[in-house]
Amino acid sequence: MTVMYWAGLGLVVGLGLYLVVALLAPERFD
Amino acid sequence: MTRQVFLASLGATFAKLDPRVQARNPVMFVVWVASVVTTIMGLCAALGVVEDAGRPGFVLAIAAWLWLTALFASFAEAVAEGRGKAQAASLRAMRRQVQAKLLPGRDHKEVRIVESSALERGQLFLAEAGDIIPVDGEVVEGVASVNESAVTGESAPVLREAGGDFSSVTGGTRVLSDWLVVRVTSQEGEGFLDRMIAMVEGAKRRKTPNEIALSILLAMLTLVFLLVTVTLLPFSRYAVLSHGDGQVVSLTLLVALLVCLIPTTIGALLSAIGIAGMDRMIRANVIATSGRAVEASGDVDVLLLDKTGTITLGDRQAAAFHAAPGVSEADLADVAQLASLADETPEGRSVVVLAKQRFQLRGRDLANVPHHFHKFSAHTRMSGVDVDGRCLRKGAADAIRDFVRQGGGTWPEAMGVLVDNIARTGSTPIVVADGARVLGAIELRDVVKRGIRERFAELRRMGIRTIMVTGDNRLTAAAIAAEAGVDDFLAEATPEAKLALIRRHQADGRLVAMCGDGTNDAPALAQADVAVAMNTGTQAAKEAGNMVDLDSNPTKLMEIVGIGKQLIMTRGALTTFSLANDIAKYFAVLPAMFAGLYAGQGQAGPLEAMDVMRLHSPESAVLSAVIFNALIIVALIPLALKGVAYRPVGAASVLRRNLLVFGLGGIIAPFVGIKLIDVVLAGLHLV
Repeated sequence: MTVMYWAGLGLVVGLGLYLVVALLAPERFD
Repeated sequence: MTRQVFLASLGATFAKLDPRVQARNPVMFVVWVASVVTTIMGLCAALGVVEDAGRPGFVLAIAAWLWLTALFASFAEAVAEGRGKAQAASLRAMRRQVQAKLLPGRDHKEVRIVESSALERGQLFLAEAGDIIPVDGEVVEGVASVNESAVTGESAPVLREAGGDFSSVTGGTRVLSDWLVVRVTSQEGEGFLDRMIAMVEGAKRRKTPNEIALSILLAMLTLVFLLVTVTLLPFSRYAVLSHGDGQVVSLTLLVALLVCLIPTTIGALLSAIGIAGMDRMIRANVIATSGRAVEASGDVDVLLLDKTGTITLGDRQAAAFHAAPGVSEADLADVAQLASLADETPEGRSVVVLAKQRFQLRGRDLANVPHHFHKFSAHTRMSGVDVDGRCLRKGAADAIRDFVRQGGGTWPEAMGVLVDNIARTGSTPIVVADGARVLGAIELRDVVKRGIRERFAELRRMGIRTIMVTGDNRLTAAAIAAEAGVDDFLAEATPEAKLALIRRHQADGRLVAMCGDGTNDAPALAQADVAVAMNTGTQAAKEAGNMVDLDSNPTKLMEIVGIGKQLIMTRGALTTFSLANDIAKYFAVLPAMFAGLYAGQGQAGPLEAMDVMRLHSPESAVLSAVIFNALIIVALIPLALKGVAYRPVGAASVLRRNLLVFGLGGIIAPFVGIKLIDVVLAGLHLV
């Protein structure tokens, strides 16, 4: 469960950061 | 869509599932990650590793539909790209090696057969009836009809001749009759067709400013919904703990909710809409160098239109005879017609026609009478005929005045007034003299194209200002501007004045569109936001512009604006639809997730009240919402490719209509869709 928990949290934080980059530097996604 | 394009798109669809490709589209990347996560959870649930995921069958069904959502999005993009690729392939087939008839000598007597790739810039080659023109070039000798359907799609042959506006020929087109001597202007591999193929393939399609703005909004929404769904988990845990009853929401449901809430519809169709917009331009025989140019054409505020050819018919036409005092109009018409017999210009022919119409004067045959024609020259600025000892002339007022005075005649004062009056109405006076006697003047008038006034009114309703650009003097320009109904005009236009006008409008924050064909148009074309060069125009103009009109029709500028507007409207409409869709999904997914929350013994929880659709079961509700989310992408692919119906009306009424159709429709459609899918799923006992 702990592994799942941390994996899930890591995934969400990773996705969140990715979306922040998409928000602030959209030209990187061209 | 042809079968080949469809099959090719299918292959490309799977290739696009590569995470490196998906990562370029934040919304669809989140769907991709969600698909991977649910697939893993489904497999874990099946193996009994994870307990709070849900039933394995249900989780795997959700995973499958999430993969389909990602696939449908890739398919939309692949289909849009596929149409361009098919077009590029047919162009490439045309650009094959052909043999060229090189003319190495100055006298053009020796003809050497070489491969088209051996031709070098500046060399001359001969193209005769039946030959395929090997490379792009400029006609230096001869006149021929050429079939340019390969480039323009127009099957009627066009005339190509040395000098003037119709001297450029394109490699890959076929000479139908006669012959041409052509000077090579571009070597093989860098000709027009090659550039066109590169543009159509659009391998490096960059996002337009509007697309970037929308991507930011979509990324923002995705981030917000990610945070919302993530925080629902602790809320749910707390509620269950504090109430001592109910079930913590499963991870699968949270993932499903996230995918339903993020704007997948527009995220999936965004690039397809952009590609389809460029495709529509190509269908209108306009090659845009970038998507940015296509989009800018939809935002244009000011249109600069050349008077000649766009607003008026290319040539001035004789409209009236104004006789001098003591001269009958019929006599004037008679002499004017005689003096115009040798005049092969459209203006000259129109004088002959007007005399025939007004006074039944037929064009006379001077074959049996000794005569001598004087052709128009820039030096004499008049033309005419010497017949029966009479010297009949017509020409510019001052040229005829000098001619009359030299012959010992006088220039009547009334004539000066008449000439001024004609000029003031925007027409051109052509004075007619019989030897030393002035007979009167012919009024040559610009003929404003039919329906152009209505087109301008249409543009005004869309909030676009039209400005007529002409080399005429202010008086003439004002008269034509008033007749055509343009908003403003630039008279006595020089390239500098045009450039200054464009810069002035741009400084006020407006986007300017114009079209041009001459080298002198190049600076203004380079400055304008939407610059359409005519295909028959000079190389400099084509390079300065960001679009090329293959039909070389200046009126096309208005059509281009329409296509750009349609692109922006389609994007706006589908964004509205996508966002409006969320409402129904709240009503489907939230009660399914939280129906048991805070419920009393054997009773439904308070959130049960949200289940207005009365869906079969919580699982069916979530699955129906996910399926609807995927299918709506497929359903909207045709609309994304074709574009929403375009009507030339103002922005406010377009917005009102779009909000009604796509906003209200976007709210209602998923309620109906989700309920229908739920009924089908329940009917088939799949849930």
